[in-house]
Amino acid sequence: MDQWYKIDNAGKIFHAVSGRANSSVFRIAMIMNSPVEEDKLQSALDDILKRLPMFAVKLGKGIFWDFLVENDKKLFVQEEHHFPCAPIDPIETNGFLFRVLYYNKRIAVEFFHSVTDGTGALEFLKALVYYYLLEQHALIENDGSVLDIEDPPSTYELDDSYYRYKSNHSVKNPREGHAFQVKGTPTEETMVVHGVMQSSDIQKAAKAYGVTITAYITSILIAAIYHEKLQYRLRKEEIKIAIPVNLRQMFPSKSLRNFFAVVNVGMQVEEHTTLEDIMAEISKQLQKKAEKEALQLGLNHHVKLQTMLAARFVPIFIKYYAIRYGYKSYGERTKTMTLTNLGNVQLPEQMMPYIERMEMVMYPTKKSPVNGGICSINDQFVISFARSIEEADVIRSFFQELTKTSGIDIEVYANDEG
Amino acid sequence: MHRCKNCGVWIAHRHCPLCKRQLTEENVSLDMYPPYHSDVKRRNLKQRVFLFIAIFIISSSLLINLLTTPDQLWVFYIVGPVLYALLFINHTILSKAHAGSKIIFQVLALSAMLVVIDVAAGGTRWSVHYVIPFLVIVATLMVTIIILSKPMKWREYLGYMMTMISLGFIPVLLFLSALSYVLWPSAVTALYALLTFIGMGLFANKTMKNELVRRFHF
Repeated sequence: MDQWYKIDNAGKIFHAVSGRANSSVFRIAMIMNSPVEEDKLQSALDDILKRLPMFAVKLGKGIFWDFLVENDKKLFVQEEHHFPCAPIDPIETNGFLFRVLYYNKRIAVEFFHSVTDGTGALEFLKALVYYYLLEQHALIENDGSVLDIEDPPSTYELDDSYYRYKSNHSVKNPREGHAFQVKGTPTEETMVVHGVMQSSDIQKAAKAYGVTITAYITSILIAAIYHEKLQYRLRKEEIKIAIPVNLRQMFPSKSLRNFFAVVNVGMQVEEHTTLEDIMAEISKQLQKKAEKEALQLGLNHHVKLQTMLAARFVPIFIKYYAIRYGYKSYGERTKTMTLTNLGNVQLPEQMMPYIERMEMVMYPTKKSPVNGGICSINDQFVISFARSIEEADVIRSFFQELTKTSGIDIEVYANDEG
Repeated sequence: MHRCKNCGVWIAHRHCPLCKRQLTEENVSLDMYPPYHSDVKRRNLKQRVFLFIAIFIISSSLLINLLTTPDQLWVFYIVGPVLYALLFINHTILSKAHAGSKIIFQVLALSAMLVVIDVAAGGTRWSVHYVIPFLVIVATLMVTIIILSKPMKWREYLGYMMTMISLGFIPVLLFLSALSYVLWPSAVTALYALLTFIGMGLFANKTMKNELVRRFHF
């Protein structure tokens, strides 16, 4: 009962920068084909938490760093009654740093980012839904794509892979310039708009331009921001989209904690710039910036900042102040928006009839008040935009641009009933 | 399902969520999301009301004091208790914070209030000499009793216990810095803190070591 974990390198940043206007809480949800049964979901949650102790933690306050400590209390599933990605109040969640919510047919997990990243949260949700379906006596079998709760927890799952993979390359990160920032009227609640389309359609559309889906969506997003915000401005600022990259693909790791890097791609759009130009540029940047060497340098830079011996002994409140300053001045100002793509989610074939689609909601922040999340399953491709400003102009422009460019049918729904 | 001609997308809501145009006369509810309500706002409103009342009392008292007897600053007799009452209501009663943190905040707030009253009354330092050391002892004793009565909560309170022990040595530091010149209450507090620390070391050696390691890891 005394297990504790150091917070990984990325997690430390989320702790420092989270606040009322930046919850650092992201959501991944599965929309089932029938209404969710609370008692069965609770049983499934109780079972998988035993298998995934690194999620059953609460925050501990240290002198030099905060830490995560085993939480032996019970986490209750809750019916959703709050807006998505709301800050996590440990008093409300029995100390846990994530929630499990259900509403109608949706099962959602909302994680505070210091606990895990999208990949870790997805593994958790997959296991939760699998064991929930077993509770419902569904005839499904684990083909290895879901964590087996009979297995003992693996030490690899607890790895801080940032440390495991840091190399001795000297790092000299080039200073990034400021990017265009979306501004608007702040709202109390996070508004979410989801666009649903068929994965096969969007694949075809991207293929027609010879680019990946991420490059295709990112380029359309840049074009939409330009048309809505910068077309009739003298100062054509750079539009940059921050794209989180799962480092596990480059650096093999079974870690369920944070292990991702963020690459910023973008450009200055001019009046004569065509969508093809944007796509070519974004594809080139994505390839270059997501190369192993580039990611290795970023990874080293990340670790180095926090392992400088001199900095280690600085009390935590001073460190947090410095991290917050750096995040606001360099991290947040170098991007216009974040777009995270969980990709196509794999589950045992027998589970698919029970699941309609998925949603990935990326929390907005003060300087990045509109953020996007993508995930697909069952040939259902969903783009979700979360915003903390009233204006939906950029999102509207994106969907107009997407339907015009691809010609595909998109269904849109939101949490403010239009 | 209706097509919004402006945005080019299909929508089952009554209005388009992107451009707000009405798409249908019918009342439709997709029931994808619940209606939102928040009890946090209500709690915050209560806290703001009490904060306003405190500001009102302090500012009015200050004005009356300056207009009537500017050479006698009796306003400090009001400022201390009002700020303490504010913390008592907003933190100790209304907030859902941990009991351990409520005890520590009470010690700090009471100490601050007594110092203010002490200074306003001529600065004989009775607060620093006698009251604060015993306040720390009482609070440490309270946490000790909670831990002994709820052994299951032992680990939960350990951090607060350590904070209390650290606070136990502050009166001695005040004596060493010449802010206080009556030694025995400070010495008693430090001894009590030291004994509590030794007691924890003897009876919860492993837990305490683990706690120290994780709280001081760098």
